[in-house]
Amino acid sequence: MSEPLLRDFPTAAKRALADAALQQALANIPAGFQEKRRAAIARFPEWDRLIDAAVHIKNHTLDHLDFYLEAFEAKVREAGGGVHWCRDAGEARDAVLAICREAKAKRALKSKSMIAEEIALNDCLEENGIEPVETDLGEYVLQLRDEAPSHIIAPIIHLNRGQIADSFLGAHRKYGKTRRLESARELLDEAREILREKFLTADVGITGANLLVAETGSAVIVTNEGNADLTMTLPRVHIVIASIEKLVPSVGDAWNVLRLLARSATGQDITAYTTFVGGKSRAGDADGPASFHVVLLDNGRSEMLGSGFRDMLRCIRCAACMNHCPVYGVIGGHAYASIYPGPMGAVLTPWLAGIAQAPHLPNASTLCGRCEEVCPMRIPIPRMLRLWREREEKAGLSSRSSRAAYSLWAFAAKRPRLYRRLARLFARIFSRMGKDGKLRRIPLGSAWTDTRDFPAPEGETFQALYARRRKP
Amino acid sequence: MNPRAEILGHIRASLKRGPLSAEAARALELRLAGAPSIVAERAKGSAPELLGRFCEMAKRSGATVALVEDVRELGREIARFLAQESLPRALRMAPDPGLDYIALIKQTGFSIARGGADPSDRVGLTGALAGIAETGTLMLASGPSLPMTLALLVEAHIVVLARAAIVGSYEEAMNCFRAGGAHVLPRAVTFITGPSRSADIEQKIQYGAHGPRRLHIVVLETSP
Repeated sequence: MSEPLLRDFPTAAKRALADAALQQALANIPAGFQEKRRAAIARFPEWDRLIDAAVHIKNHTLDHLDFYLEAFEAKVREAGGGVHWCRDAGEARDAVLAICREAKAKRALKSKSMIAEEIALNDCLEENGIEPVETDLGEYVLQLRDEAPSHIIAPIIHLNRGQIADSFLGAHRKYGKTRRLESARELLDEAREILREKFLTADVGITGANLLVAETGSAVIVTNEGNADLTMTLPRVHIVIASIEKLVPSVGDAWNVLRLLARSATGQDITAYTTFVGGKSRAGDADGPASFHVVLLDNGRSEMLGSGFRDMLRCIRCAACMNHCPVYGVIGGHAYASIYPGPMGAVLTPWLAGIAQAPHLPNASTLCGRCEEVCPMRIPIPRMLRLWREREEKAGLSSRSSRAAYSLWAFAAKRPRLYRRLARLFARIFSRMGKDGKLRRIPLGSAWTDTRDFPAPEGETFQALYARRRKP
Repeated sequence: MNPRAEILGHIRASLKRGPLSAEAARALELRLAGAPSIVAERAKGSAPELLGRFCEMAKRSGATVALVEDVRELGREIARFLAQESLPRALRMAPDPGLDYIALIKQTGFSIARGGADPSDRVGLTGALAGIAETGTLMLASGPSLPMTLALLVEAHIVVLARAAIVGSYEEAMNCFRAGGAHVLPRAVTFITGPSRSADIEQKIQYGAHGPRRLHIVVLETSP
C-alpha cells in the first residue's frame, strides 16, 4: 500500500465521502460511542468534579514533570526494571531493538500502542528479522491488511464484517482455514485460535501504557480483550513503550483519570481489564517475565510543554473528540493520513510532522466546539486549531486567495466608514441576487454553494439595523 | 549530552526554571503518597448495600454472580455452573493455600489440578483479593499463589470471593498494598470487570476475545 500523505487531505476527504462502505461503517458511531458515553456519564453524578480534579492533576504533573519522571524511574529500577530515555522515534526503535536482540527474540507480541504506531515499530522489527504479532483484534486485522488504524481506540472502525472475513480467508489459509466466515462471533473465535499459538511461543511482549504512576513505578494498561495481560505475562521479556506525558503522581491520581477514560471512550464504567504492572517477576512468583523495561519517548513533547500547545499534553487518548466531530464522522480517520486523526490529531500531527507538512489539518474543522465540550481533560482544541491557523498565516503557508481575502477584509475592517459603505453595497447586491431568501451561487463561494444554499441578506446591514433600533 | 539529561533539560527550559529546590522536592515526595480521591456515592454504603451493588454492577458487566453460605453449597454451585455451561468437571485451581478447603469438593466427582493453566485447561478457579462495589470489579494480584493464566487463558474463570472482601472503591481495595505511606505493589495488580470482550467488529460486543468467555463469581458468606 502506498503511504497516504498528510498534504493530500482534500482529495482523501473527497474520496472518503464517496466511499459507500466507509460511510456505512461510520454510521455506527452515534449509537456505538456517543449514546453509550452519554448514558455512562448520566449514571455518574460526580462527573464534573472528577474532570476538575483530573485537569488539576495533569497540570500539576506537567508543572513538575522532571521530578515525576525521575521518581518514576527510581521506582522502576528498584523493581529491577530498565528505563530507556529516547529523544525521538529513532532512539526509541533502537532501544526496543537492542532489548529484543539481547533476548535473542524471534517473535514479539504487541498489545495495541499508539506510541508503537508513532515510531513505526512494526516495520523496524520486521526489517530486523523479528516477527511482530499484533494481539488486539483490530490491530491484528490491520496487520493482515497492511493498513494503518483509522481511530485511536477502534482501529478498524472503517471496516465491515465482509472485508474482515475476506482478510481472514486470505491470511488463514496457511493454517488450514478455508471457509469464508460470516458472523463476528466466528471471526473472533478464529482469531483467538490462531493468536493463541503465537501467545505461547513469543519471546518478548510489548505493551503501551495508558498511564505511568510515579509513586509505584507502574504502567497502567487497559484493554477489553485481556490481550495486554497475556502479552505482559507469557513472554520472557516485557517492554512498555510510553511517552513522557503519561505520568501521574500517585495511585489515587491514576484512578481519578481511569474513571474518566473508559466512560469517555466506550461508555463503559471501566474496561474489562485494568492492570498496574511494573518490574520483573518477583521471587517465588508463579509467572511473569524475567526482565522488564520502560522505553520513555519524548519526540518533541518536552518542547511542546513550553509552547501554546501545552494543554494538549493532558490528552488521555480517549477518542471522545473524534467520536463527536462532525468532520471525522463523515470522512473517517484515514483521510487525515496520520495515526492521530480527528480533532486531537489536527493539533498533535502538525507538531509531530511540522505544520508545513500538514497544512490542511488545522483547517479541517468548523470550530463547532463539540470536541472541547466532550473532552474529559478540558483541552481547548478549537483555540489550538486557531493558533495553528495563525501560524500558517504568518508563515505564508495558507493559500494565496485566502491570504488575499483576509488582507482585503482587514483593510476594510480598519476603516469604519469604508466598511459601512461596502457592507451596504454587498448586502444590496446579494439581496437582489437571492431568490426566496436564498442564494444558489455566490462568486468565489462555490465551495459552500455547490452543496447547499446560502441565506440571502434581507437588505439592511447589521450596523444599520443596530443604529435604527437603538433610536427611541 | 545524553538523552536523559537533554530531555530533562528541555522540560526545565519549557517550565522556565532549573531543577527543583530540596524543599519543593520534599513537598512533592509527600504528594506522592497520595492526594485524597473523590469517592463516588455509589462506592459508599453499609456492607449489605455494597454487596448488593457489587452483584448488580458485576452482572451489568456480563459476569454471573451466585451467593452461597458455606463450602458444601459452594461445591454444588460450581457443579451447577459447569453443567449449565456444558463444561467438564475438571478444574485448574490456583496454588493458593487459602483455597485448600475447596479440594474437599473432590469427593463430589471433580478433578482438581493445581497450578498455572495449560492451553488445554478449560476452567480456571481462583480467589480474589477484593470485590469492588463501584463497578462490580475483582482485584487479583500476581504472586506465588496466583498464576495469571488461570484468569486469562481459560474459557471460564470461576472466582471465589469472600463476602468480607467486598469494598466500595478501587482505592480502598488497594489499601492492602500500603506499607507505611506509599503503595508497594506486586508485579501485576489486575482489575477484572466482566468477561474478556471485543467490539472491534462493527462496534458489537462479543465475549471471549482472548480471555474467558464466562466470568462466574461465587460470593462465599462464611469463609472456612
